Amino acid sequence: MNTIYRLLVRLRVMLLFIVLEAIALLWIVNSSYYQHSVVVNYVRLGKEILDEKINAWRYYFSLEEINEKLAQENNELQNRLEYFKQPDSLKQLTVSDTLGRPVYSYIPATVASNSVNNLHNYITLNIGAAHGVVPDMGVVVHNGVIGTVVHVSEHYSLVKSLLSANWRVSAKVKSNGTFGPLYWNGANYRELVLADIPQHIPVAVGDTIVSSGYSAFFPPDIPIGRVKSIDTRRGNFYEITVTLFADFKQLRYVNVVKHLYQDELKELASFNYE
Amino acid sequence: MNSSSFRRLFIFVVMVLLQSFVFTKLPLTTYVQPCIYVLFILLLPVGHSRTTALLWAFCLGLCVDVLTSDVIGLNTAVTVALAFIRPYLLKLFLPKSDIDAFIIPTSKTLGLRQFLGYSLLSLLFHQTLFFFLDTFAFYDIFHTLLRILLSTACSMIFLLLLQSLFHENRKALHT
Repeated sequence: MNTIYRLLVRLRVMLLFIVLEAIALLWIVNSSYYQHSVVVNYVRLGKEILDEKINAWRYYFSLEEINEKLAQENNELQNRLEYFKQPDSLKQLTVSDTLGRPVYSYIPATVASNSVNNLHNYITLNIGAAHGVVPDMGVVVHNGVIGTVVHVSEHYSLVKSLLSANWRVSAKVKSNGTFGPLYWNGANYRELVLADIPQHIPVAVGDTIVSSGYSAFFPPDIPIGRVKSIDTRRGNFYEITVTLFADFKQLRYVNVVKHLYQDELKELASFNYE
Repeated sequence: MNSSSFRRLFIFVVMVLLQSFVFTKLPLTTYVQPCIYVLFILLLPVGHSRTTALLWAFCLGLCVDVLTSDVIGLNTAVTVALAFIRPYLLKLFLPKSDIDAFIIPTSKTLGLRQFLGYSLLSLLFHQTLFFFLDTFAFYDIFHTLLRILLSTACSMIFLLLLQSLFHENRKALHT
């Protein structure tokens, strides 16, 4: 007994090391969005508030750029409005729903904290369950897809950014509608990769890439970026590098997308053929 | 609580705050991620108890994880490993003669070259483990190696500056 005790005392550093490493590695293995976001909820709230203050200062100094962007967006919306105002009714307006009802509605939100430097980036928004946000809602801006809500608290929500390695969003080439998964390879925060476009499809440098709308997260035809280069290194498919329109580093105002018939869609998708 | 453990706690808090609110917020790329909180481990006294060093490392890593990382346990695992091998690394750079166990290894006490070697090896070890655990074989090794080298170089510069700061502090306290 005495020898075992002495052995333990002699090896205590090694044993403690093994125990602590085991705990840490277990945490790594077990952490997922969900656990991570629960931690955010209970531990990080104070940090979010501090982050929001810091960001408020930072944004104060970039107000000029933000103004310019808002003006641009305004201008674009104005143009679209003009199109609708045209007395000429020969042009048929396209509405996403055949019954003429809107399919998506948008909840405006402000970014409370943001990161682009990690391999998995998260954004915190200053709206939460109290404002009608639920997990799985998409987040967009007028010139880009930003991410998906993964967790909500009462007044904040956590968004998994499109800049998360290995996380895919469906996108298509605007000119011909071919779609494929769009993902980040972790190298440059201004560039994404669009894969699985067959080689017989004509794609040119400078083509616009838009969201496909095949998931209920994001409405179709939101411009995402422009083709920067086209690679043919994977078998029969192109690997296209896309330069983003939206600058993730300067995100300030975003819209959370609410699909009005999401429950209906889900029900349909889980329909049981008997 | 005596003054030396109070100062240790102070460095701990400063490191955690600096890391999570300043250095991870720097507008850099995914290739350069300065990591300065390891300085706390590097600045433990030469003869510090290894078990408490491990526990300190565990708490330090956990705090940084909770405040900055998406994966809880990443910084914890890496920092504990660093605390474990630190005595061996330190032994390489200590003078052969007997030295006081309470000496804190900085560029003044060890000499600049020794301290550089000691901290560079420690950082390299820390960053290598960190990036391999973080990417975990999903990405080609070239990018990971580039990340390790660039981040280590960047962290090294900040570490050198910060350690001299703590050194000066200590002098002022004692005179």
